Amino acid sequence: MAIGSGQSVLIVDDSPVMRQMLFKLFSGQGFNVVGQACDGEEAISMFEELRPELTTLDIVMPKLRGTEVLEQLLGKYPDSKIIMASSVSDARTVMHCLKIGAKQYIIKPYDEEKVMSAVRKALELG
Amino acid sequence: MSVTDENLAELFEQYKDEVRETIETLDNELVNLEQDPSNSETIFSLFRHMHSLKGSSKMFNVDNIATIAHRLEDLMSMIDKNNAILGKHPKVVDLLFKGNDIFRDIISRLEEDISYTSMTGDHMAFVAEIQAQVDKINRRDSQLVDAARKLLEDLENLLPGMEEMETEALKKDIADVTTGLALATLEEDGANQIRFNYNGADLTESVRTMEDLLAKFKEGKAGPEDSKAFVDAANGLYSLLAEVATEDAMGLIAELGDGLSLFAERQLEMDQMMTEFFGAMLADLKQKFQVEVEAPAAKSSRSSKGSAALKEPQVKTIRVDEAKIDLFLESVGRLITKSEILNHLQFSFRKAGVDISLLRDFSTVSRTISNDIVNLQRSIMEVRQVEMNNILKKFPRLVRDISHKIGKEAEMSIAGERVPIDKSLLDDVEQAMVHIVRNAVDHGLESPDERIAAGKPRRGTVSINVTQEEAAIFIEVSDDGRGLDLEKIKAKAVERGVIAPEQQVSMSDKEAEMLVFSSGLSTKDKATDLSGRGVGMDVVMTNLKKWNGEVTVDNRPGRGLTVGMRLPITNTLLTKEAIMLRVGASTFCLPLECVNEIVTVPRSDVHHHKEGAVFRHRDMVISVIDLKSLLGLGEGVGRRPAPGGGDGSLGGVFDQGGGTLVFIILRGKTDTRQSILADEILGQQKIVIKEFELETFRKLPYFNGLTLLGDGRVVLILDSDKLIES
Repeated sequence: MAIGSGQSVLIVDDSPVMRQMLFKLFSGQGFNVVGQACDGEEAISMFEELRPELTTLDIVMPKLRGTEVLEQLLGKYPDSKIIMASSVSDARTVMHCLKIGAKQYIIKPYDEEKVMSAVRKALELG
Repeated sequence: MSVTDENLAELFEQYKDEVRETIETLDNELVNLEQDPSNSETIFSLFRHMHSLKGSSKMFNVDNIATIAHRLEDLMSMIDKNNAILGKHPKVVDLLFKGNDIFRDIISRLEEDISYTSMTGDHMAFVAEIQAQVDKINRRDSQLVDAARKLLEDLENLLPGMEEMETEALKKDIADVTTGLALATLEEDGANQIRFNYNGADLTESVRTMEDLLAKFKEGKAGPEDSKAFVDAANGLYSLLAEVATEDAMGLIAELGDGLSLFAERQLEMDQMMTEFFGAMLADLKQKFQVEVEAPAAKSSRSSKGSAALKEPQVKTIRVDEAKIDLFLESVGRLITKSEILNHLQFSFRKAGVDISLLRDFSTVSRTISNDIVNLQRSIMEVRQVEMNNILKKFPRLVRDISHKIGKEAEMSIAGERVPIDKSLLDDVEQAMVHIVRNAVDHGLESPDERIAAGKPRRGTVSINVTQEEAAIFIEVSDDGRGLDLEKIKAKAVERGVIAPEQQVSMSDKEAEMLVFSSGLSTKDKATDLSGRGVGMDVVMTNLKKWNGEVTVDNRPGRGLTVGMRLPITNTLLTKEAIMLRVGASTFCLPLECVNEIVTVPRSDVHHHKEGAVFRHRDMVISVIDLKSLLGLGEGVGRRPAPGGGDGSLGGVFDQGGGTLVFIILRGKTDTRQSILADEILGQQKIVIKEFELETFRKLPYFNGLTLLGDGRVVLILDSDKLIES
């Protein structure tokens, strides 16, 4: 039973192979991956253009860090559903992201179960 | 369901590619770092790449890379926080280079054995080496603490005498330092037990309880009561610290409190993420107290947009299996052969007297097909193109390694990274460039002292410039070293028997310059293990010739050397124009580039010496290679009269007085005074060269491949250099 029902997803990660993996995962679960951004600036411009229902956001990326992307996006679109997906496990970063409004924070390496569990909670799919 | 193994396997190739790219980037950034150790952009880029290497390697369970990258990431993060570290510990860069070599080794082993993912003894030894370095850096800091404490004691001893001066401010400062030092007295004793001693509050117990619980969570053995115990312990720690902590530490503790409430509110499960989260927070707390004394290094002013300078144009790509493209290319090769059949047919039709308008239609169709195939070939060649950067990015590291090894200082400048080059050329071009660049550093550049004495900058420069011309790629490697000493080179060439003594005088400078590409020549007095003993530069010639390339040399004695390589873009499918010739009953083809001239010579002008036949042409004595006896083509086998009336056999040259003979003067690497005698020139056509697949055939002395003709015959391709050498 697929978890998603065509919800639009934007994937942000500077590693092509990570993007590919998330793409497969979301597509396989009935989500509609509408875009993939490979750095912070692209993330913002793609988000504004696509207005996805869900965004996964990496942190350590060229041009603009994911934390700053998060801040900017939530500043403009407070209802955005953003899941941080990063290998940064430093407590303050995790805290900071959750505090300013990231719905969930998953740390690499993650598996499908972990991603989908975070997605369920973020989208309140029950 | 999980991310299935199948998915992972499919992405694994992509992962390896990505790691390889990261390794190259790291190499270059390390070279940059060495040149400018305080560049925060470079430091951050190294950190970022190490970080993403760790992340993706974790996903693919490549533990060895993930572990090593993690340790190096920590090291980079220390440097990122305090980039003065590099100045004090230059060995860090070598360590990072070494790490890169280990990554490279792991990736190449993974090609053979996909289970090569665990830490080996060597890997653990390397991790220990990193740890030793980290300890060294920290020890330096703790030495600072000791020194500060000593200073403080001295000050305290002085204080009573200073009372009258009412130096309240000074006293306050000293008190602050004392507090800082108290924080620094957190000690780690042998059994890895942390004893927290913070102004009398013993934090050890609650921290240990939390750590034990976290371990339980990690193993998945925890029940709901453990979650509660954890929150209790955390709250305990929180209130304990709240009483004693300084303002700065309070911030962190408040975060812990927030974390706990968020934990409940957002129903974050106590899964791996949360254990990592709280574990990290705990570690952070410990760290916080340990490093309190060290003035928090001013976070470099790297702004969010700071790294925008690294902007690279984004190119959308698809990945296609290389083998598929090769297969495609092979089909195009066959199509080219087929289109030659059309030409052949056209010729036959004309001979058979087919109606002229029909013939014209046929010829139009044939030409269109042939054009389409050429276009098809061109677009596949474009698909196969990669950017020169694939090769170029290796060079900064190479130059760095060589110059370090031999005590020279060199700087690398590279231009033209985006020029496209056919993938099949990559290896040969890279190999040639490696030899040239090595020679530039090893032989070209002077030692720093020599350079200064010569009024040059201490540090030499090697530059690579790649440009795209209309139908060729031009690669130029220049150095600002000493240039070539032609007299020395000629003398050496005589000594090594590469040239005859009389040539030493008669040789032009241009010819002498080209001697560096002959095998077995090295003019450096002391051969090093880098450039070897003159072995190598001949590879440049061999590799370029394979792709119809040319080498040029611009020698500026005392000022430097430039080696240029020009590679035609179009010939990469190994299709060549060739002339077809008949010798006895056999047909051969000879690529047009091997032909200098085709001459018809009166039989009477050919003279026979002991060493063979010769004739004069444009004031040159041209000798004749006797293909028939060389190839053992028996005389009289299907012999047909040559156009000039001769029978093509050299014996006949003297037996018969009249008629003419057709000679093909060969264009060799160095020699243009040899020719072969053809019984008949059959024509010129495009051939697709197939290299010999069997090793046995590769050893054939006079051929370098074969081709299929339009009528289906298989014909051997003559190799002019091999013939001349014979």
